[in-house]
Amino acid sequence: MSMSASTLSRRRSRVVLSLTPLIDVVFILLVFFMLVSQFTQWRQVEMIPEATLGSDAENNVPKLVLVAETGSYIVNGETLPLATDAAEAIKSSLKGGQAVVVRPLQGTTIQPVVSIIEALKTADVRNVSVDRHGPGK
Amino acid sequence: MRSIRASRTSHTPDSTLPLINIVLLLVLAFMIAGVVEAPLPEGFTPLQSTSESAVDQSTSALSIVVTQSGEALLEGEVVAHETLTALLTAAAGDERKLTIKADSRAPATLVIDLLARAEDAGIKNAVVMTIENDK
Repeated sequence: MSMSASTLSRRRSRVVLSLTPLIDVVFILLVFFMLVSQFTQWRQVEMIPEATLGSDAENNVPKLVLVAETGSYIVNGETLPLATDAAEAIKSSLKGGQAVVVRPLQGTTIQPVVSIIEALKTADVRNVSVDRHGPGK
Repeated sequence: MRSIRASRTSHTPDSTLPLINIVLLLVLAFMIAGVVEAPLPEGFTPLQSTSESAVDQSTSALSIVVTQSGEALLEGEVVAHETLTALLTAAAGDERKLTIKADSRAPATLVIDLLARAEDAGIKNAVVMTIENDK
């Protein structure tokens, strides 16, 4: 009699669904996704190395923009601190179909280079490339 | 006594179900809205731009991170120059896109050199990743 009661209680305990392991797994999943998920909204900027410019660019001498270590821009021998001003100066001095080459000087970081490329794009200047060969190379 | 025990057993799953539902919804939200990828290095400052060209991150692009010191990282691991060349060639063969996440203080010449190497390897679509400008 006592045996049958114990078997019955064992059976009953099997029927009751324990949700604790499920909660554990779901919490672990939540913690995992919270740690590894990134919500940064990335944008993209196209930068074309000079070597890939088309034949139109080769026919003209490209307009050279130097990006100094301080983040300022040297256009036509004039130093301009802002990318928008530099882009306007380049645009006003461009001859029809002339290419623009952005060349960072030694020690320059990438941020001002991206800024001038964006400013040139905003100013509707086409055929812009970046130069990988620094002076003296 | 028996009835109290029965009511307790029947109440326990009911009270946890809403919690499980909420947590499952949170998991789903993180899975859908977030992108699972290798974390960026400590102190990484992304490039900023006014670009509005959104990036489709679901594509199987080759994603290289360039640190402030100029090291190239692939999935958080430093990649040697030769390995990187092989990776670029393989990516070009598979017609994969190259995305470069460069630290804003990384040397410009190194990033441009990486872009040029990608072009040389035959990658047709190489872009530099930025975040929206703070302004």
